Amino acid sequence: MNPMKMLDDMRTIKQLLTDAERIAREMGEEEPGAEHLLLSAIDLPDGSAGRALASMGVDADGIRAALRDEQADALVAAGLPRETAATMADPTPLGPAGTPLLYGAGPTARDVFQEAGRLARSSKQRLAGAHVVIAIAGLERGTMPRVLDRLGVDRQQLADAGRAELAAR
Amino acid sequence: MATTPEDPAAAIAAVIGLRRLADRMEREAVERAVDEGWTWQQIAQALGVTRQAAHKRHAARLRDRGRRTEDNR
Repeated sequence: MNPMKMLDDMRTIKQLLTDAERIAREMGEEEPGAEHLLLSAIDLPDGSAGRALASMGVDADGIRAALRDEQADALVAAGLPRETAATMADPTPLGPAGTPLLYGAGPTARDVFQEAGRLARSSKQRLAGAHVVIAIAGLERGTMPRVLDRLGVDRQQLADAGRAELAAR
Repeated sequence: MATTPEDPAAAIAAVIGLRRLADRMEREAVERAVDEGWTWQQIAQALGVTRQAAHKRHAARLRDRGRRTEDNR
């Protein structure tokens, strides 16, 4: 294995996971989920995740807004009045974690992270944001697919957009 | 209360939403309890969990916020 690639990938992994953790906490979640991994991937310096999403007409702010809507609608479906649900869906930041965490990502975020790494290895490419986008597009159930539905993003097309970004590198 | 949505995906999404809300309410309530001087034993009893479970779930976060969370007050 190319040692430069390995070093690059390790740097990418560290940023991806550290930022996912920070973003999750800012959004009031103790454990990063797939959505936080995606938002973190958008911030990676390679820029491929942001470009793949932009080609589908979506950006980080749009994803954050759709996540809030998803939470509010979930609470309405559970029986809360709309107004209360909207207030409750507003994220309350947790503040930075003072204790170093061993990347306590939730199971879906772990799956996405592992799939992204597998995609990068099998194509012998450096790990990039677009690998995370493709892995996210492969999720069938849960918050992320529902949020993509909300945003009118077809998962198959999103995966294609991710692959196009990787091909252009 | 509304009944559970028939579509399982919507029903599970509602559960996730409630769980997030419940977690948040628990964090805020435990913080207030600690501020009011409750012991971990009292907090655990109120939550219906073991003292260890309550401590594990909340102590590190409260410590990070620089609150006083001595174990046996």
